[in-house]
Amino acid sequence: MTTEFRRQVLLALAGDERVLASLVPESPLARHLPAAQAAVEAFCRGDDAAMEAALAELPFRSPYRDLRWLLKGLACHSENPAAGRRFLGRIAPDSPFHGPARVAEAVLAGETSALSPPFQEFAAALRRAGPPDKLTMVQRLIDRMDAETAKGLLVHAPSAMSLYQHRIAPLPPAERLRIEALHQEYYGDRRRACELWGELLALHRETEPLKAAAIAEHLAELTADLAGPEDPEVARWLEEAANLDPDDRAVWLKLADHYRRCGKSADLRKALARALARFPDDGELRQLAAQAALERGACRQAAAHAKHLLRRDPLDEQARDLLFQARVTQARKYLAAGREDLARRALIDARAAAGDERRRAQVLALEGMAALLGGCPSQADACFHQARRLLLPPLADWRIAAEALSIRQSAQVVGALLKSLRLVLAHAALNPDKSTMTALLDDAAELARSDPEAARLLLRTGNGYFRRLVRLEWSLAEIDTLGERLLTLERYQWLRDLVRSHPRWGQRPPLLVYLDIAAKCRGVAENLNLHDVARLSQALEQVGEDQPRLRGRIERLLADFQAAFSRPAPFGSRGDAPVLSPEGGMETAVKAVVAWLNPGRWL
Amino acid sequence: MTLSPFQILEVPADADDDRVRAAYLRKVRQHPPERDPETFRRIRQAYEAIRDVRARIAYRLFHVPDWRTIAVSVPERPTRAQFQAMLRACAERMTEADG
Repeated sequence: MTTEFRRQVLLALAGDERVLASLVPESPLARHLPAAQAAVEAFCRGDDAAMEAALAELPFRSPYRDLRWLLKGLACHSENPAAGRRFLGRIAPDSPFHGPARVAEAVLAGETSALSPPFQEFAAALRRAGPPDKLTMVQRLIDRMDAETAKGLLVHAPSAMSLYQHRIAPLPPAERLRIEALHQEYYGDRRRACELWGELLALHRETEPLKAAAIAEHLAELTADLAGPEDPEVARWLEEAANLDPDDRAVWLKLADHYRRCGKSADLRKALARALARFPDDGELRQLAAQAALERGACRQAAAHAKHLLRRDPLDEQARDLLFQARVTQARKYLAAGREDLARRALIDARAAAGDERRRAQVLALEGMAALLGGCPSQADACFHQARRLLLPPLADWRIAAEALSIRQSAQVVGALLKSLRLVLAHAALNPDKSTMTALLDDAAELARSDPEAARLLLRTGNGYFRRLVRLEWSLAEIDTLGERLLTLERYQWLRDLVRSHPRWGQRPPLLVYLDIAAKCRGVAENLNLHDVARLSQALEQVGEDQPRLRGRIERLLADFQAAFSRPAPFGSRGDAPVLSPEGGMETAVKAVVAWLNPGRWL
Repeated sequence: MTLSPFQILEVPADADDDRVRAAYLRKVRQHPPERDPETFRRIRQAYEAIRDVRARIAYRLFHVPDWRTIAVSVPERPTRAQFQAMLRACAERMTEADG
């Protein structure tokens, strides 16, 4: 092989136009060139399988045959330099690839400083010198990857958009807007991201409603993150998404969930009516509608939704319970209005839907109330007696008293029932058990939902009994459930006594610390003091990865505290509340909050 | 290399629901969960990401590939232009050596 021929081999592969123009089509130099070029291209792309396939197409007598040793040597330079050197050693001194092999050997040996400038760049590209910066990497990937992946990566480096357009394809204005919006969302200003998504939504609203609906839903999520889940803007975006794509049931569910969380029952009712018009047989929507109707006291509607669910699936326990609740609530209303006859009819239906003994005892208690209203105390006693046979003593008496309170029975009847309950509870307090206590608290919570004052009166009657809470051995998981119930029922002192008497209180597990502080501040973040905030921050540091719920509750309390003190102060603004991070530790948290509350006085 | 759900299921970017579903079932038959759980998990994730028109729209609008994963998976290689420049420089060296 002459020097001129070897030079032509390298220049042909390098794409030299003069050499390529002078090639004779039948010559091996021209015939084998596409396979050699494909191998180089695959090597540069990092696709070693494609490189091997292309190299296999080069015949043994091809002028490019030594390209295989060069590329294989370079391909394994980082994982196995010794193997790389062996491959390069197979290239003879009279091969066209002898020169490139010497360059490659210098790279493998790390002796790149002696190389001249054109080789330095090549060597630098081969050396792995830590992860590249995002822009460099995106630019590199644009050269090597499929258009879609490269486009996805532009979000990390929007400044590479011009390179992408130059090398791959033009980007329409909407696409550039999308990339910029995602970039702002990930790296920059999320409010700016919302503005950009809003612009994109406007672009797609008329032409691509499904896309616009997806953007509106995304904007609702972003707004909820930025301004809180109850912000009115969240509802606006979800409404817009539902209007643009009314066949997306997930959006309706989100909208209903939002209205329910915000307590907007009229909006919830309208949204569910629209959703059910589209999806009349959707179980989840129907159940939400039944619950919503029950919450606003529309018992007949709730019963109608529950019946619809039961027609679809007669074994649906949740639907059966909803129907029971609807009937019982209806019966209570009639009893409270003195319509004993109508109440009895509703209770017959309720009895048919009662799924367990607790529910049947509840019906019996209400039937007893109806009998009392109807002036039949003996019949009432019979009903109460039957209820006591179905449930353990404190549970039946508790339920009877709860029902008397819920329908606002006369003071005389309520007084007598509470007196009897007090006696039963005093007896039960001698041998308290966890399941009974939990069931009593459940019943009280149910009563509190419709009549908080009645629930308070009932709990006051059980004060002595519930003081025995601390005598029982509760696991942390049980304390977690119980703590939530006690917080809902506003039994803060019971909860603090329970937490502080727990055998593990000395170790201050995060759950007990949280419950203690939540009870101390009576569930209101504004009542927290700096010491509480510091203790919560410290507890947050100790919460394990397997306790996301507890982490969320602590973070919410801290966020509420920050939000409470970020509101404009009546005597001038203090500025933004400090951001308390779990990494900062207790001392940092205290200092930050003190400095913010009393800038001139404390520090 | 990180593959897109379309690449994992081997369907074109404009595939409809039926085609995506058919591709998913074909792939699951090839990689049943009891024999190849990791691949099955990837196939399942890919299917969930593009299973219907709304999912595909959301994927196209909001999916952002993790550049760190791609950075690790792409080997350090020169670009084609850098490789060609190296070959050209070697050819020039040959001429100089002859001269």
